[in-house]
Amino acid sequence: MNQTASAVSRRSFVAGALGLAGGSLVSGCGGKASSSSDEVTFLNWETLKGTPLEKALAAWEKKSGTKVVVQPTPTADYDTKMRTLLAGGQPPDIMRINDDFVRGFSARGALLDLNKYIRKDKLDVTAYAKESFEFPRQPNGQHTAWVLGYQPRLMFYNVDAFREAKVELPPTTWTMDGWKWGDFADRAKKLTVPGKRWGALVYYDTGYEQTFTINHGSSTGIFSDDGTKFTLAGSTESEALQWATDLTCREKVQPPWSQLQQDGIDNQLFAQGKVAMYFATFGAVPYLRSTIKDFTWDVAPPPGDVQQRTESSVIVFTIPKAAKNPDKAWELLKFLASEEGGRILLEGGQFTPINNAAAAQLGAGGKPPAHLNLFGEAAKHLTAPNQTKNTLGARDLYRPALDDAYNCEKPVRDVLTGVRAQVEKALEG
Amino acid sequence: MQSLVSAGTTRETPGAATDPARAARRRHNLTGWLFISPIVVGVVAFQFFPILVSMAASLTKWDGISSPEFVGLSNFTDIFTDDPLFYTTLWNTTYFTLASIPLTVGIGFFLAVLCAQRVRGVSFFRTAFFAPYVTNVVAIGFVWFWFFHPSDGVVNGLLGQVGVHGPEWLSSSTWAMPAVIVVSVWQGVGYPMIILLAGLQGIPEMLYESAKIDGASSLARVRYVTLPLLTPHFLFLLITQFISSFQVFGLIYVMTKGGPGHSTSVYIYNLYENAFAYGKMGYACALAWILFAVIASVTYAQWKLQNRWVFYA
Repeated sequence: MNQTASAVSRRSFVAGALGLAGGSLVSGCGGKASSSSDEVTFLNWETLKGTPLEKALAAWEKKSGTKVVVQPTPTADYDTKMRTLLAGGQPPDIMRINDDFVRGFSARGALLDLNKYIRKDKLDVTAYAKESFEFPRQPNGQHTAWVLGYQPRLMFYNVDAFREAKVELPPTTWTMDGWKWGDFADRAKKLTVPGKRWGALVYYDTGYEQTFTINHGSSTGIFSDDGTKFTLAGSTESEALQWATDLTCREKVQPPWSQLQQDGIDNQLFAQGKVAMYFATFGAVPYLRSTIKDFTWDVAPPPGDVQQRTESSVIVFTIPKAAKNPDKAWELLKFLASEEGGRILLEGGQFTPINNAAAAQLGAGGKPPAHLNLFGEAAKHLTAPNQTKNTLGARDLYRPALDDAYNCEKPVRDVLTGVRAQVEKALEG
Repeated sequence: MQSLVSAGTTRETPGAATDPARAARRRHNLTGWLFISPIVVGVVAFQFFPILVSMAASLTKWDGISSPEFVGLSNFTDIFTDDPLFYTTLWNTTYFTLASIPLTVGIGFFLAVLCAQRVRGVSFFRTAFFAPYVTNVVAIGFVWFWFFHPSDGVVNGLLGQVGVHGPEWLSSSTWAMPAVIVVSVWQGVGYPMIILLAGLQGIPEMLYESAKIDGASSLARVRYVTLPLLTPHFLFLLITQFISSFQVFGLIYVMTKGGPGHSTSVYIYNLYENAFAYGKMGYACALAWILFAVIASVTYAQWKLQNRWVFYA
């Protein structure tokens, strides 16, 4: 068959193929994720659609005339993508960061020191929750991240289950009166109905490690002040963890570890009425509000022992050092931590805004839990694990080891002292 | 007589364009190179270059963010002398490999024999056995995660029907790895089945007829005809299955995250954690090169040992 004049010649085809290959290489390797001066790129691990954060970003866009380009990465591989963007020299202007990474990334010089902005804008730092505001401050004085809010942990409880079992309800204020570990365990026993309902669930949320050790009298919790020692393996700390573990192994009032091997199973068990009390963060509130329709639930402070504190997770964003538009990024972060921004974020009922004036407006507003204000009051009762150079590496050593204790095979003390040396080596970074 | 040169022909270097055949061949080769250049560029940019970078990075302390710091072979010495997880994960991976390969290939062979029968509906079974192999590993992991639930799972439910109290499976240090192996075999058995089925269908019928005439029983025909003629396929499967088993990651990531107590933490999972959780890119690259050395050595040994048992008809 004769070739028509319009057919592509071999030479043209080859040239085209080469062009395509070259083009794809260029676009793959040289694509710019950077911002123009009138936009801010924003990397987040949650979908923003319909959330208060989306609303807050829109409010700032309107106010500043700057566009916010969101790069949602709602996957388990968020950290991988974040590291890749940093390594490739094309980070976003603002990125959410796991609070455990702040120290390590700061030490590597990846994060911008915000002190110059704080000083330039003469920010009144007393407007913010002190402990959360100070969280990103590094040993060298740099302020390398920005906390938008915090999620304290409280004890969620099924009010109807308490009434049905004729058990006294937990306190509605931050008090240890009648709400110590012994009282908690007694109530858990009375609330347990074999095959139907467990009385309590304490050891699923890893925040219990710091909370319960501190409440038991530990001065440091998981790590020493300088972040080099694994103090969780100490006797006081191990006792605290053993107490929580014994709720399963000895008292039989807590679900076995083998039934808790799924993300979010604690929320599900509570929402299904299969657990009467459980220790969880403020972040569980939206899920419980939307899921629980058939019983009343509320929150209480964690039971006290020597003292009564609770660990809080912090919602942290940061500006990478290589950000293309750090000034605008700072303006956006400042807005999100302002009273106006905080008020918008408060609507999510998911965390306490760092702005005290906004946090003061925290209230149930007719929705459960009735004592939502306890999350706000938690600001006066917070504890936080000391930061280390390699918290994740340390956790990856001691938490799997704790499985043996949680499965009632070994005492907590034995497994923690067994891994202490390895953990402390990991803490060297 | 007029010389050729003065007649207006140009003198050229001997053997260059004066040789039309060579010039044509060169043009032909150039065209070929131009056609394959996109893939060559791709391979160089996205395979050879990362390999070289990985090799260089294995000699550095590098977190992937700040500048790498040259540390020579210290990553490698640290791995061998100062990383208990290296040996744990190497053992777990070996355990997984040694258990899953014989099961996968053995069951695959059994299924291939079944699927080679000329019976109605056999194509349905071929598809059914092969389907898990092309199913997303994350979906498989989640489904089996629920199957192995100690109190509500299908597996313990079935065991309970026959009076057996099932173990804790994924939360038991003893049973978690066997559970993952079961899933891996279930998922992977379709691949050897297809390869061996192709092999079975390539065995000439007359060999079986000759063996029959010689009085060979069914078992003897399998022993002396089928298995020897399938040995090249078995070699191929042993090599490819070893390479993939030693790089198992997806199922572990979805089902156990290496737990409980590192009992299912495999080599690649440890490598991934070092690279992306702890930011030890240089160290992770060193781990990758050690894995490469292990796989390359075993593959070479498998290749060399084929003379002892592989029969090429």
